[in-house]
Amino acid sequence: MKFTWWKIVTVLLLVYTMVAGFLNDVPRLAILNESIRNTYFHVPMWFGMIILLGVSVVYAIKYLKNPTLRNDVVSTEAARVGLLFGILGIITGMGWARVTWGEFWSNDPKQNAAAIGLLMYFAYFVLRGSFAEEQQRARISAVYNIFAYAALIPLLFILPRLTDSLHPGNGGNPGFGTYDMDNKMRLVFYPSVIAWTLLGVWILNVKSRFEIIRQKLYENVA
Amino acid sequence: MKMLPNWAYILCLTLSLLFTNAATAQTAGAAEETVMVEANAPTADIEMADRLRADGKIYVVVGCVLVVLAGMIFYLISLDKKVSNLERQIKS
Amino acid sequence: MLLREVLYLMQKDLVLEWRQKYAFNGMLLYVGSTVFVCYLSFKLRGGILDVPVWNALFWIIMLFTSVNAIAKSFVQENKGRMLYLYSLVSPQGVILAKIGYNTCLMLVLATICYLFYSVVIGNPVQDNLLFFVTMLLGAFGFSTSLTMISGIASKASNGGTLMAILSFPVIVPMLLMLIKLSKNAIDGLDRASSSDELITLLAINVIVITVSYILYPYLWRD
Repeated sequence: MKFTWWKIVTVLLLVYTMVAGFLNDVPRLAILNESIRNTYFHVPMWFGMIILLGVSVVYAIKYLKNPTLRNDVVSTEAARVGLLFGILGIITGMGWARVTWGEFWSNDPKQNAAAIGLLMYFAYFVLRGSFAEEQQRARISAVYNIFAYAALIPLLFILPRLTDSLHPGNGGNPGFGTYDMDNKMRLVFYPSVIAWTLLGVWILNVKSRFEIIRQKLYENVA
Repeated sequence: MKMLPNWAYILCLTLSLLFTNAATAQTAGAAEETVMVEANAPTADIEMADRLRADGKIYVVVGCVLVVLAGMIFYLISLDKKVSNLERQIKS
Repeated sequence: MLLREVLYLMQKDLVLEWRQKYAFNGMLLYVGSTVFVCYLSFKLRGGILDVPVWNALFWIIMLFTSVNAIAKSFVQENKGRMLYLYSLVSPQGVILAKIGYNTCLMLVLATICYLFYSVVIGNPVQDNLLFFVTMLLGAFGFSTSLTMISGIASKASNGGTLMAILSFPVIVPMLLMLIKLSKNAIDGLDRASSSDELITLLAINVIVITVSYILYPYLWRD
C-alpha cells in the first residue's frame, strides 16, 4: 500500500482526537456533564455520512455519463461506507439520548429523519440485489441513488428546522442544541471531523480496489 | 493505483471543514450567551469526572482507546497491503 | 412539440383506462373497503374519532391507495408496446405524460376517498379550501414521486415488493408536511401559519419533477 500523505494525516488526527478528546477541558454544562465529549465521535459520523453519500452520488452521475465498471463500484462502495457511518451515528446517538434525554428513541425530528434516510439507502441495496444483469443493475441503481440523495437533503436539513420552529421550547435544553461549543472544543472538533471522514475515504479506497479486482477475476474466469 | 484523484481528497477535506464551520457558526452566537450565563453559576456545582482525572484513571481510558484504535489501523493497513499485492499480481 | 406528445400520451392512457376500467374499479373498491374496515374497527371502540386520528388515518389510506394505483401504471405496460413507443416519442414526453395521468387519477381517487370518508366516519374540517389545496398538492406530490419509483421498480424482477420498499422512505417527508398542513386546515387556523409547509411542499414537488425529468431517459434505454 502507498503511505500517502492523507493516510498518515488520518492516523495522526485520529490519535489526536482520541487523546485530546478525553484529556482536554470541556465546558461544564448541566445535563450533559462529560457526555459532551461525544460530540467528537457522534457528530463526525454524520458529516462523514453526508460526504460519503455525496461522493456516491457524484460517481453515480459519472456512471450515467460514462458507463465504466470503476464508476459503478466506487458509487456502490461509497454508499455502503456512508451507510455504515450512518448506522454508527444512529447507535451512538441512541446511547447519548439515553443518557441525556432519558430514552433511546425520544421523538426527536432529527432522529426520525436520520432513520428514514438510512431506510432509503437500505432500499438502494435491495434494489441492487434484485437485478441479475450487470449493466442494467448499475444504471438503474445509479438513477435511484441520485433520486434518493435529492430526497435525502431536504429531509435531513430542512425538515428538522421546520419542526423545530413549531416547538421552540426545545432550543432551551442544552442537550438538544448539541453544538454548545467554545473554542476549546472546536480545537478538537474540526480535526475529528477531518479524521473520521478521511478514515471513511480510506476504507472506501480499499473496498473499491478490492471490488474491482474481484470483478476482473470473475471476468477472466467466466 | 490511485482510486480517487487528488483533488477529490482535498475536496473532502474542504467540505468537512465547511460543514463544521456552518455547524458552529450558527451557534457561535448562542455559545457566547451560554458562556455568559454559565459564568455566573458556580462551576463546581456541575458534576464532572474530576475524581477520575485526579486519580489518573483517565489515562487508563485513553490507553485502552488508543490500543483499540491501533488494532483497527493495523488491520486496515494489512488489508490495504493485501489488495495492493493482488493488484500487482493481476498487472503482471 | 413536447406538450403535444405529453397530451397525446395522457389521452391514450385515459382512453385505455376508460375502456377497461379494470384498474380504476379496483382502486375504488380498495378505497371503499379500507375506509369501511377503519370505520368498523373504530366504531367497535365506541368513541368518536379524535381529530389527529382522523387526519392521520385519512392520509394513511391515501398513501396506500396511491402506492397501489401508481404501481400499476408502469408494470402493466408490456414489452411490445414500450418498444413501439420508444421509436415514436421522447422519454421526457413519456414520463411527463405518466405523471400527468397519475395526478388526474390521484385527484379523482382522493376526492372520492374524502367524500366516502366524511360520509362514513365524519367530517370535522373547518377550512375546506385549504384542505382541498392540501389534497391537490398531496395528489400531485404522490404521483410525481411514485411514478418515478414505479418506473425504476418495473425494470426489476420482483416489482411489487420493491415498489413498496423503495417508495416509503421517499414519500415520508412529503407525508409529514401534508399531515401538518391538513391538521391546520381542519383546525381552521390562520392561513399564514401554514405558509412554511406550503412552500416546502411545492419545493419538494419541483425537485422531484426536475430529477425525474432528467433521469428518466437513462431508465428508458433498454
